[in-house]
Amino acid sequence: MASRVAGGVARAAGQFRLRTYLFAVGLAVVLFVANLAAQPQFVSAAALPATLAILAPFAIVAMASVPSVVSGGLDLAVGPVLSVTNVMFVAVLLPSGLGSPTVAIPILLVVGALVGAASGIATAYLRLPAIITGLCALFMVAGAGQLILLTPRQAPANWTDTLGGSVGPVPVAVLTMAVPVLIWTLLRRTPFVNAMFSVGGHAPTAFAAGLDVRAVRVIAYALGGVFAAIGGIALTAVIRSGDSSVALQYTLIAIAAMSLGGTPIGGGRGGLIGVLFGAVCIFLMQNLISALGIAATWMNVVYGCVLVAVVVVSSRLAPRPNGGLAS
Amino acid sequence: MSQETGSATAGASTLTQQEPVSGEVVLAIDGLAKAFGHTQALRHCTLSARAGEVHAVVGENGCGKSTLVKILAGVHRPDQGTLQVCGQAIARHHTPRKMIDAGVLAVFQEVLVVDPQTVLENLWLGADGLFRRRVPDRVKRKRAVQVLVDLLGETAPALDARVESLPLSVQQVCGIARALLRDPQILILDESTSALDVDTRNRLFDVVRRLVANGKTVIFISHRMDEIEEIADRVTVLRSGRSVATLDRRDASVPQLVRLMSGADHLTAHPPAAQRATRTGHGHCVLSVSGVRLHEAASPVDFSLRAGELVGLAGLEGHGQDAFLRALWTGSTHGEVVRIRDDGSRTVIKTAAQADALGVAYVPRDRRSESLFASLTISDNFASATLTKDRRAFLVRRPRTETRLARYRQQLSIALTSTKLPITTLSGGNQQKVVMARWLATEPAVLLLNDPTRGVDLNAKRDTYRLLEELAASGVAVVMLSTEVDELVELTDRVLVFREGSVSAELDRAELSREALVASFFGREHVSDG
Repeated sequence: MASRVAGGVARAAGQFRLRTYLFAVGLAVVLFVANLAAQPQFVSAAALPATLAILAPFAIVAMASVPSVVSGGLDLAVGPVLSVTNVMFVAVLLPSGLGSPTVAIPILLVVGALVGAASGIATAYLRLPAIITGLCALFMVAGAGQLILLTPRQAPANWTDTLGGSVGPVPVAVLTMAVPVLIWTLLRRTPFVNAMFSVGGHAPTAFAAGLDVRAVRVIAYALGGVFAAIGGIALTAVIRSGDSSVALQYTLIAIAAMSLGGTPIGGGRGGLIGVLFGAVCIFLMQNLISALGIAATWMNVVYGCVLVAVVVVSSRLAPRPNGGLAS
Repeated sequence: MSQETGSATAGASTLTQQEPVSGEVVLAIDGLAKAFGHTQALRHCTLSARAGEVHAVVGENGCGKSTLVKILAGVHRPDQGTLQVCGQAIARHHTPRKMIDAGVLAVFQEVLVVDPQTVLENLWLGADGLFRRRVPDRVKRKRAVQVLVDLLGETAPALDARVESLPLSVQQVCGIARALLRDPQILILDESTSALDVDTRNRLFDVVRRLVANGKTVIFISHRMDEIEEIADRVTVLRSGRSVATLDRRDASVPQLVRLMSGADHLTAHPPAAQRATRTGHGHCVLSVSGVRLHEAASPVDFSLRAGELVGLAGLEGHGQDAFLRALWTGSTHGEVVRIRDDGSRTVIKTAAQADALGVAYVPRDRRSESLFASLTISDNFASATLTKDRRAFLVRRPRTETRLARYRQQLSIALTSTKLPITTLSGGNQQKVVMARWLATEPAVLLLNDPTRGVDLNAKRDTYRLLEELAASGVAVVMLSTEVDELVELTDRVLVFREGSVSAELDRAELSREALVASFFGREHVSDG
């Protein structure tokens, strides 16, 4: 009996080693059950669209950090980009009559792409360490958000409000979150996603094999910027206002979700789906903490502890390099 | 002459690349020079390679071969000189992409693979555009299988296996296959055979012969004279960053090449046999291994090592010799590794740290990942294992480190300009010498070496052999894993041959010969009664 259990554990560990995202999926299921026990109504038909709408910016900003990280960089400005998109829409586009979706969405996505590409260019061409350019971009873009709008401002009723609702039986937030997944899936059909993983896996090899390493990195960052801009739109739907103070918080969430989702900083490994589930875990964790009535001030401490525990466990399950005959 | 041929073909080869006629100059290098900070890696290199030839480039470590290769591959930009491929001048601001498009494909000394990616992805890396597939998947798979089977026969890995799960030799084959798949006009093999076993190397040579027969050019760089003799048509010798001569292989004898490479007369390929006879009576047993199993199905290995003995470990790549050598250092969970000290006390080795404390030193094979601190200086790299020796009142005295290093610098003939420079400014062979010096400075009683002369030039090899003989004579027990048959035959007292995870044969000095050893790799000779 004990040996059968041990065998099962070993097999499960083997699966995790092959598919690092399974860990985040497993944890999400556990947290979901815990949430159900603590607060059964949070997935009721009435509450579901709103719940998912709160999840959407988390999930999308986490996915926004994936392209830069798998290609060996680290775009820390995803949170600020999300925040800049949000305040730009509320404080600039809406007042100046550019608030309609057909005008606003392209503008916001292009802004996201440009900001992302700028960080990418700084990382790829100036040959600075990714963490340094990441931090610089984090400060500069967050600062830009504050320049646009220092104190939160209520948004007038607009089209983003519908993103918190449902179309028929489908919560709109599901569709919002599906956009980055869809873009990623389409890109998977081109050589580009593999190029990102190769550049992140070992840039000298990719360079020597003739890949344009810089172009791959810049485009990866730009793609992350586009995702982050989508996250900004999703955030507007939830808070119905412009708020530049959330920038840092969302970057931290993105990094935590990546660690949970089996996409290590350093590049070459992981993927979008794992990180999506990583974000789901974080969202459920937050939800659980508030459902259990733990003071919000304790939230970050609990967060940090859980994250360390989780990263330790998941790194134990991560693939080991080159075994050979011995062990 | 190369210039003339170059300009003559320049008109003919327009945008559509024409197949060069055999014998025509396809690669013309003139006066290339390149410096890295203080180090002038390449001073003046002139070389012309023809279609349909294997052109070997030889020289000692640090003579500029690898720099030349990296310039040809587009990784480095030359400071001076010109480069023509198939008659077309290559701009100084070239990139790997441009060189690949011109038909120049290089396989580097370092194993260049993307660890987490699959074999297939590694093989076709860089062949597609960023968003556009240039080669259909079906073609990719088919050709990848073809080229892997050409190089590895039945042992070819699955295309969907992750490269990091494969042995180093197969990873190197992936690098070679990547170059072959891009249909090279000029293929550069820089020490690419050093990680390969004999069978794979022979298959690679078949591929090379086929390429050359089809009018392609292969630039072949190796420290192994037997390989040069086997495959090269012409040989260019580099010395201290200059090309000193290009010879026909038929006209070039090994002693002559050695003379050109070193610029000295007195060197021969191997130490005189008389030297070997001096080492006879060995001391007491210093390391005793009993019942060590390298994997579950393998039969256990018993082994005892005596002071002053020089034991070789050999076998085809991946047959357990590497694991066994590591087990001597880290201990083993299946079986016992016991260190016996001079006073007769016995300690079972369970961890590497314990082994270090008991005077067992291990020099790893893969410099880049296992033994170098790339960001530190030469003297920091040297002192990293023995820093406490330079300590006085909790502070490290730098001059002491320098004094200690000076001794080994002389003993190992380490070529360096300043010990304060980063270790990466040294050539591969000199880096290896610094690593050796690091562990010798711990004054070990047992020295474990994992292929110490891999990718090291003849002179550096000779220095290493001399050093090992001196160490053994002074009572140090040495275990050396080697992929080079000659050095095992020349140097060691006995050789353990590994096959499928256990010792398949043990050859003592009387039985040791090239033929006997190679035969035993393949299990062709019956195992001796011991």
